[in-house]
Amino acid sequence: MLEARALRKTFARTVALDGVSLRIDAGEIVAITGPSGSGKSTLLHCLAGIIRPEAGEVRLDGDRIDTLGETERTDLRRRSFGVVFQFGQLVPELTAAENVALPLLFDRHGRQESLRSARSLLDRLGVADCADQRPAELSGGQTQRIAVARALVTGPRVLFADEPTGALDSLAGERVMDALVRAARADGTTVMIVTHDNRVAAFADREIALRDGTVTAGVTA
Amino acid sequence: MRMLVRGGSRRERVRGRLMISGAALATFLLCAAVTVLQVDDRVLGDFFTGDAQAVTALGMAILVVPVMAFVHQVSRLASATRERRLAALRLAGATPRHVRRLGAYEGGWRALLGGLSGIAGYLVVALVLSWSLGGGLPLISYVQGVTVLIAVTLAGALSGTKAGGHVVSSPLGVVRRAEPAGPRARDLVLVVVGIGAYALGIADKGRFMIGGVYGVALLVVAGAVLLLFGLVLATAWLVRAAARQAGRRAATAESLLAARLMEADPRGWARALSVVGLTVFFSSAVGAQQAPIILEHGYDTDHMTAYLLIDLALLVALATSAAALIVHQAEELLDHRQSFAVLAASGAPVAALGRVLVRQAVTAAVPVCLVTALAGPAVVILSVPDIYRDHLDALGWVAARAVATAAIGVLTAVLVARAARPLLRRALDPDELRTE
Repeated sequence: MLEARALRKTFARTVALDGVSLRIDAGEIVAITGPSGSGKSTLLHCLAGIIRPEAGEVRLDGDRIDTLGETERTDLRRRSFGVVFQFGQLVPELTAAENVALPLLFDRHGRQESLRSARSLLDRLGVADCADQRPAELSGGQTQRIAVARALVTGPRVLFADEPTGALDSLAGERVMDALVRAARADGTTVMIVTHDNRVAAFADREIALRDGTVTAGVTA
Repeated sequence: MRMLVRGGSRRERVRGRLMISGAALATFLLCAAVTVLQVDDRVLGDFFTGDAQAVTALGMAILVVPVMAFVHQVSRLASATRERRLAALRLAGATPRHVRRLGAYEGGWRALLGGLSGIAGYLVVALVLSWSLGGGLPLISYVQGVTVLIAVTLAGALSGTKAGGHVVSSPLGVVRRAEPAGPRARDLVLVVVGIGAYALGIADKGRFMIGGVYGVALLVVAGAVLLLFGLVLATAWLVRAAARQAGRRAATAESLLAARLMEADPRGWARALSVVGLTVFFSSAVGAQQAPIILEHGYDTDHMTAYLLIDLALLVALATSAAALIVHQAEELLDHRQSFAVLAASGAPVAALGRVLVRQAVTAAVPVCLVTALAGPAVVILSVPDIYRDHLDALGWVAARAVATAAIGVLTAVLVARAARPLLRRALDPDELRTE
């Protein structure tokens, strides 16, 4: 489903990815692990179409996405991908429901319909009571579950999560991962989690280890 | 303190130069206003005389307001980006008071440098003009020069102190206050007092004669001035009310984001738009003052030269307020860069995020420009109702000028928002997504 071939990306003189190849099948949950600076986040950004690799290919269902123009990649991210970041990174000025509804609104859905979908997803993730609160009023775990809802609200085919529990204690982290994995499995969403936490990696079907921009273990499914 | 100032980044030095330039321009304008007021009728008699001279001097002095507003905006922006240095100073033992004093010192000495440059520039221009007019152009006195210099330096120091108020610096870093302060009830006091004084003055009609004819005139003028500054302070209320309305009706992501961002921090927009509001107020008020005179006397040279100079001054004020708006946009994007970068990474089109900036500009600028465009002529017309009773046809001119002025104000805000798109693209850098 999602495939990377010989990806290479450098920042100034630092080689972030050096010939990374991997394949993720539909509905699979894969953890990309490795120490800080190993290239995990850069790999996620390349696979999600946020940045372009300097060499290599990224394919979704056999079609190259790394050669798409900025507009096409933006549309792809909005309609087919969902992204969760370490601190949730919600818009602080919007309520939780408005944050979740935002991707639908950007996709020209109606306001009422978008807010209805957002509330229903918040209910599924167990944070329905936070719908009208702003991020500053929420705990870290609640913020992350709302960020997961925002990433899932458009019904993406692939969910990318960059250290989704990195800012949480172990109990809150476990709850977030549990909610994320359950929602993804129910919808058949493919998940790629970047983490350096073994407990988070344990939620995945498969683990791919990176070190110094190269895959060191777990390439094959 | 000098030691603490050292070590600023290149960006900070650029902002320092902008502050110096703004202070130089303000000093130049103040000196020029004093000179125009003092100049002998025989020297500039071909251009204007008497009251027109005073009006021109006033126009030049008014220009100082947008220029100083620009300096303040620039100093705010500088304080938001010197995070690492302030945090390092706190870690090295500097107290919050030291940090505030640092702001005052930076603002003050830059204003002093600007003031000295402004006086030098003024002397060059005045001497060249005096030579070309065959002498007779009075230069400002030593006392006047020093007074202007002290005023500009103090304004710069005050601006530097206030500029750091929206950030909290600790040894762990510098963060923006989580909850930006909303509009304050005291911001409305000036409007109420201004309207009260003004209404009392124009309703007097010789019945109470508060302090004689001059007392009544003073009350009317004081009321108008208080109302003017009250409107500037009340801009935050207007912006928040407009943002709430827009938020309730928002049907798109752009409108919703624009409304909520403004509702959360209406004072930022109010600060940036207050100068646009001032310009619209003055411009529409000048239109109301001009209309009956033009209808009665036609285009006579004395008045028209002064009016043209005032219009020119207002255009410069608008350009300066546009610069303040650009600085505000940069500050806003700096604040929201991570939210915007995440939205872009999640598939929000860059064009849609650009529309958020434009919607904010329209939502904030329309009510501010409309209210000030109405208030300006209202103050003039209510002061001289008899003249307008005899010249009802002048109201058409007044309305046209008010509408045009308001439209120019809104257009300025929109053009600035569109011009900020390169800054937006920079704010969407995927590097903002990194947390390691």
